[in-house]
Amino acid sequence: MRASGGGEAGIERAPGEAGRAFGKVGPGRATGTAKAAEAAAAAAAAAVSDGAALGAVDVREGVLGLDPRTHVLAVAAFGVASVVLVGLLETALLQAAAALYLAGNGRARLALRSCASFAVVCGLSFLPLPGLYGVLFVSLMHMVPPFTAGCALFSLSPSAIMCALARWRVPRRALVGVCMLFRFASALPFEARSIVRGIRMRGIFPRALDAVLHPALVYECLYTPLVMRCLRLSAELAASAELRGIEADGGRTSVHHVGLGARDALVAAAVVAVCVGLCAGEGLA
Amino acid sequence: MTARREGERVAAVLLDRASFRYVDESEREAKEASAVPASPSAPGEGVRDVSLSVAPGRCLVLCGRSGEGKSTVLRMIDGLAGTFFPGDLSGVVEVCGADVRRLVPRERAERLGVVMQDPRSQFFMGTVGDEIAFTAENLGVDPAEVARRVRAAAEVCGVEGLMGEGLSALSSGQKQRVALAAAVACEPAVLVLDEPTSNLDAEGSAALVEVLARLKARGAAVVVSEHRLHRFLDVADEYLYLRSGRVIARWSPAKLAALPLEEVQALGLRQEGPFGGASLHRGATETSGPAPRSVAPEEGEVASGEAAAAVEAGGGDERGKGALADQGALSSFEGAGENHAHPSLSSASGETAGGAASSHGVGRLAGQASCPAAPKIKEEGALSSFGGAAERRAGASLSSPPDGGAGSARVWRVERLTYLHPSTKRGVRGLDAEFPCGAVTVVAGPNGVGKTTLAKVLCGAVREQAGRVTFCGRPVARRERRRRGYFVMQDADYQLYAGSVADEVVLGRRVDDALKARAWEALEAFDLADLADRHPASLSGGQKQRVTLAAAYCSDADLVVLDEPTSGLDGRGVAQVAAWCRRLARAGKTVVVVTHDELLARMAGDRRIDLR
Repeated sequence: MRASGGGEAGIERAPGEAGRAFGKVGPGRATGTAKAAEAAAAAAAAAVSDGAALGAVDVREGVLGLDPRTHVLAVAAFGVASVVLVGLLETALLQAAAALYLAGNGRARLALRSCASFAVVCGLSFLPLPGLYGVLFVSLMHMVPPFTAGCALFSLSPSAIMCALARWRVPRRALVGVCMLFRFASALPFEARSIVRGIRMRGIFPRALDAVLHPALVYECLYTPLVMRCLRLSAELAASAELRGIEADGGRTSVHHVGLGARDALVAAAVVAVCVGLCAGEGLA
Repeated sequence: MTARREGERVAAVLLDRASFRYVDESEREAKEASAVPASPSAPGEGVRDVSLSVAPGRCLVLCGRSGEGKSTVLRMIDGLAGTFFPGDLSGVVEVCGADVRRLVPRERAERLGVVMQDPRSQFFMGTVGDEIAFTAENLGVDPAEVARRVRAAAEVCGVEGLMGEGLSALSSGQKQRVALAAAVACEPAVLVLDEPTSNLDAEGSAALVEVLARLKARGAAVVVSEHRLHRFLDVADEYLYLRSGRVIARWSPAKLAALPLEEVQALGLRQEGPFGGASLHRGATETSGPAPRSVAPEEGEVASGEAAAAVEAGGGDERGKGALADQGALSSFEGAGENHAHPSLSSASGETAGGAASSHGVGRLAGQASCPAAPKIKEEGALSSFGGAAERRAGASLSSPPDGGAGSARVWRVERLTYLHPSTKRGVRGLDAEFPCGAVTVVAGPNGVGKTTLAKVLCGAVREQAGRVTFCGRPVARRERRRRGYFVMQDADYQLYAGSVADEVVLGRRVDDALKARAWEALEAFDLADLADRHPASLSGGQKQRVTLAAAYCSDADLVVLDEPTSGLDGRGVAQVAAWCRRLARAGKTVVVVTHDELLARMAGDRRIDLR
């Protein structure tokens, strides 16, 4: 293993600083990083892990500072439990646990918002809707807990996720897919906003009512340019990825923390225990 | 092999009779099935017999009109031609002594640093630091070493203070720097840049050139494709001109700077003017050099007394001559300037910091560009002195717009206008400006000073936080501004929606005979009649831009705003955009051009508003 495994030498980020491995203010952070590098170098001189020196930069994200693979496990656990659980109370407790998990990873506000979303969807599921519409909201409600846990994963740097997946020997093509997924997730809203702005600026729908009265035209105006932009963006991104070594042989490293440790084991055990406990409790009841 | 070595050193980049022809998959399959040998490439479909050599520590600038093969040469160098872009590649293409086609991905990423035209297209990560580290991480470099390289690259490119910033929050100039830092982080032997200054203002371009000079000094070979050639005079070692995929000419910087204007026009190159970022240093030193310099203009070619006075104030005779010659030269582009005694492109070199700029109130020096919050404004009515029409040289003004007539009393105004973006607190504050009908008003200024913000408020895209917008002295509500305004975005892809060009110009409106007639008039005016049935997505960039302008022409909007319409365009493209703007103005519309392209400002503008 080449990448950062020296947890003690690493930098732990404050909540809300996810994705900022090098710090908001360059010089200050750089000093910190340099100190970390010195400490890591000293540690590396003293102990060799897997035949490679400890990483000098080992940025942990969130309060728990977990490995991305722990998050993947948590998402899976919450997902399975969400499918197994039927009762509203148990599902709500599962959501609470997922929100706690997210908050523990430095995303307290997002955790609160996810709980609010759960409450809204839960409320909608009680509406006397015909046919499958009622089922729709119940299904949505059961998706919220794993989605909440997934937010902890996706708040990590793509660099850390790709590195962690590479260690799991995930095929390179899948890694490229993950990379593109993150890029498009951030690019699509921007592209869509730009298109909407372009429509407004051309005065095609001067009033909001015009858009309501012409849904087919709205679809045409949004869909066509969005597809064209995505095609262009994907082609250019793929070319760039190739030039930037995404297909290079050998392991991928990351300046972010990647490495399973004791806290990962503890958190994973706690998540699994909660999920199993809720499922078992519902079964017994 | 003619270009194998340069002196005793192995060339970092070597192309010897290299050709490339694009083929699509269906053509390739058909060819493989019939086992027919590849046919020679046709002009415009690739490049042919290109030979060049770039030694370590040297800089080559590729130039030529759009679509003549510059990007294809870059793709040959970076190895995308023939692999990512299917086609037939022949001849020698070597990077650091190895055939680029045989480089494995790791070797290619280690040896080459590439900056694409649109930096957004090459970003993968969320933050600046992560983005710069991306390539090194892909190569499995130890994290400690990655961190060191990232800090070094950020420092070289001047983004060390942005390491934790999200990429989406950066300005276009900052993104360009980050892209450059990401490219140099692995300390590549060869740096390939595709039109790196197309979105940069003069200050940003100067900073970029400074960075390139530093990288050159470290031994990196630099290959740049560019339209704004003068900006690279300080750092370029050779200019290579391409036409129809072939190398037509090679110039040293001194020779390029001394090209006669007629030749520059014939070549379709951009004629950067007194504000265009040309190097004062290089221009001054070359005055006594071997290349022929500018010749003093003939009598009657002096653009205006103000300019002449300012040139004198700018200090040197040579520079003064240059400025005068250049102004006369530019006027010839629009056909109003007549015989020039070989005005030289190099004449632009000397006046960047000299008098010509200050004579028009736009002499804001690069170092002053970082004042974003409260842009100051300076309006100039005499901008048309650069535009070429002799009758406009006397100085257009608000009270007498160039086209005169009915438009003279019809003026859009912003009064004490304030709009600051909630997140960045940047924008415009307390701004007063006027935009007469039937005239082209250029809004200029450095990146991030609030030009586009002003345009958005004017068009009603955002609501002013203070102040008001009036037309003929009457306040105009935001909703009405949205109805009467038409904003042409920088990227035409965001504004084309219909299934054909003809449908596009009438989109969203009730089609009657009058509108049909007007639509055809618009298509004819913008030379689109032959493309009426084509899908807008199938058009070239310039054609798409024309469609959006034709739609503006056809619309009821009497206020047309263009946002940076010439980034990435060659000299001919800029002249065309200027002509289109003038056409819209002649149709009685108020045309506002937001740009930091000084060439366009001088060619199209009747008036100028300079934000700083």
